[in-house]
Amino acid sequence: MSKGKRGVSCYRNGFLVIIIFLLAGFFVSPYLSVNSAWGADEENCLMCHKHRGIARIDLKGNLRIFNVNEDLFALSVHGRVPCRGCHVNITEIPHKIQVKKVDCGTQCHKKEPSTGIDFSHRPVYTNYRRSVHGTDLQNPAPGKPVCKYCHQNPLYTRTYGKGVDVAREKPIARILARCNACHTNEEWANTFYMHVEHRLMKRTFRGRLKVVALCSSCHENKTLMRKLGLPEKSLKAVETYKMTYHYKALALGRTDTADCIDCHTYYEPYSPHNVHLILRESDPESAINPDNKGKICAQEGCHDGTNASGPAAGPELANLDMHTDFESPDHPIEFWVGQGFFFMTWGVFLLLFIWMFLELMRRLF
Amino acid sequence: MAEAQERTFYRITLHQRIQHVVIMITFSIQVLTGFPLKFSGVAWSYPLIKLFGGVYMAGRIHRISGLFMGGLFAWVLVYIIITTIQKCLVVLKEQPAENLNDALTKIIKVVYNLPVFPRAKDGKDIVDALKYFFFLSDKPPDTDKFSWKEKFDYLAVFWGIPVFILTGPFLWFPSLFANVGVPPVAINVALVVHSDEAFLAFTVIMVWHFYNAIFSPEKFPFDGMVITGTISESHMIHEYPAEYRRIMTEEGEHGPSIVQPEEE
Repeated sequence: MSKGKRGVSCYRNGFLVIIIFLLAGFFVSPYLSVNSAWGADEENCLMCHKHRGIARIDLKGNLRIFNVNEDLFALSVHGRVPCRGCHVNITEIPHKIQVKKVDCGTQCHKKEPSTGIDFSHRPVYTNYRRSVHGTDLQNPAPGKPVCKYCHQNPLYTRTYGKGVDVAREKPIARILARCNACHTNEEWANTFYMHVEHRLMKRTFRGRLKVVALCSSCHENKTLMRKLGLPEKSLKAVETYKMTYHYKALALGRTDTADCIDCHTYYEPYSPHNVHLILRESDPESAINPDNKGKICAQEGCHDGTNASGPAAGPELANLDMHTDFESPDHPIEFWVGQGFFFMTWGVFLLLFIWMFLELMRRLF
Repeated sequence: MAEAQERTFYRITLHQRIQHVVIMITFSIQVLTGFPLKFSGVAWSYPLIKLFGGVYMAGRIHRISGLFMGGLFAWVLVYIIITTIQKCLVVLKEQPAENLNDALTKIIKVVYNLPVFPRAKDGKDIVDALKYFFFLSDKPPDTDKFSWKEKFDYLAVFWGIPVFILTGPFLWFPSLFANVGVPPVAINVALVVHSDEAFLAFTVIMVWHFYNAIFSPEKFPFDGMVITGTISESHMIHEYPAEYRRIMTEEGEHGPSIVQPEEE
C-alpha cells in the first residue's frame, strides 16, 4: 500500500469518509422527508410496496398497481393508520393475493382520542347501505358508487381553505410555526392541523361546486340513470338544478347557496353521517319526502331569517319545485309564459329590424 | 335680427329629460348586474360579476337600483297625472262643463290627446311610412308631437317597469311570499317573466332605440334633444312637420315652444 506524505494510507482516509457518510445518512435520513409514512408502517410493508413497478395483471386483464406513494399517503387522512388496520386479511409476509376488498366499515384499531374506543366508519357505512346509493362493497352493483368513488384518496391530500396551499401539498410554514412554538413534534402538529382545518368548512371539505360536479358525474349520465331505474323526472335533476339561482350563484363564485346534499340530506339533528343517508322521495324518512321537506329551506345558514335572503322560510317554500323544467310543458304555466315571451321577443325584434332596414333603404335611394 | 336665423324649438321638458337620465343609468345597471346571472354559463358573465364585487354584491346593487327604478316610475306617474290635471283645468276653464257627462267627456278627450297617447293618426303615419318605403308614395309620414316611434319607446318602458317592479319582489323575498300563501308556481312564473322581459327590453333598446337615437344617419353621432330639450327648425320640419305647422299657426313666432333669442 502506498503511503502518503504523512504516512497515512489514502485508502484508509477514503474508507473513513465513506463510513462517516453512511453513518450520517443512517441517522439523518428519517428527518429528510417530514412526511414519510414510516410512523404508520410499523411492519415495513413499504419494503416492497414502495417500489414503483410492483403490480400485476389480474384474471380480468386489468392492470393492478400496488405501489404506495409514501409521501402522498402520509398526507392523506389515513396517513397514521397502519396498513393492516384496513387490509385486515394479511397474516404472513409475503402475503397471498387479496381477494377480499377492503371493508371501509372495519374497526381499525386506531383509538379515537376522545373516548379511547377503537375507531370505525361503521355508522357511516350503515347509513350508506340503507341509502339509495348503497351496495355490497365486495360485489358492487354496476352503476352504484362505492366509498372510493366519492372519497377518492387524492382528495384527502388536498385540504380546502386558506391554510393549505394545494400546489405545495404542505401547510404553509408560517401557520404551522405558531403551532410548533409549543407543540414541537412537527409531524404531529402538521397532521392535527390538517385534520381539523379541512373540516372547518361547512359540512364537507369539498367545495359546493365540487359537490355538484361529483353528483353530476353520475346523475348527468342519463343512460346510466335510466338503466338504474330512475323516474323520468329525476333524469333531468342536474339540468333543472342548473337553471336555479342556487346553482348559478355557485357557478359565479358564491360559496354559500344550496348544493345537492344541502337539501337531499337535511335531517335533524345534523350529523355528517347523514350525508350518506340519501333516500328516495317515497321513503317516509327521506329528507325530500313531502312530509319532511318543509324544514329544509329554513336550515341554519340558509333561509333562516338571519341574513339577507329574507324572513325565515315556512314549510310552504319547500313546495317550490327546485327541479322545475322551464322548457317542458309539464309545468304548463311557466312553459307557456316563457313561450309567449320567446315569440314576443323574436316577433318584435324582427319587425323592428325589418322596419329599420326599410327606412335605411329608402333613405339611401 | 333681420336675417332669419334658424329657430330652435323647445320639445322635451326638464322633468322628462331628468327622467330619461335616470332610466338610462338604472337600466344599464340592471342589465349589467342581472345578465351575468341569467347567462351564468357564458364566458363574459364571471368577469362582469367580479366587476361588481361578486354575485352577492351584484345582487345588492341590482335590488337597490331596482328601487330607484321604482321611484322613477312613481315620479313619472305623478308627473303625468299632474300635467294631465293641468291640461284638464285649462280646458275646463275655457269651456266650463255643463254636467258630469260633459266634464268626463272633456277629460277623456284631454287624455286621448296627451302627446304620448297612441291615436288613430299613428296608424295612419305607419301606413304612410310603409307606402313611402315601398316607393308607393313620395311623401314621408306627417308626424306630430311624439311620433309613433317615440310613443312606442316610451310606452314599452312604461309597461316594462311595472313588470319588473311586480316580479322583482318575488325573487327578492321568496320566503316572504311563500309564507303568506302565494302559490309557488307564482314565484317560478315571476322568474320567467322577469328574466324574459329583461331580455326583450334589452333587445329593443339596443337595436331599435339605439338606432333611432344614435346610429340613424340623420342623428349620428347623437340626438342631443334628450339632453338639451331643444331641436333645430330644419330638424323639426324634416321629422315632425305636423307639429311644426301646429306650433307656428297656433302659437306663433313668440309662442312658448320656440326658444326666444336672448335680449341683447
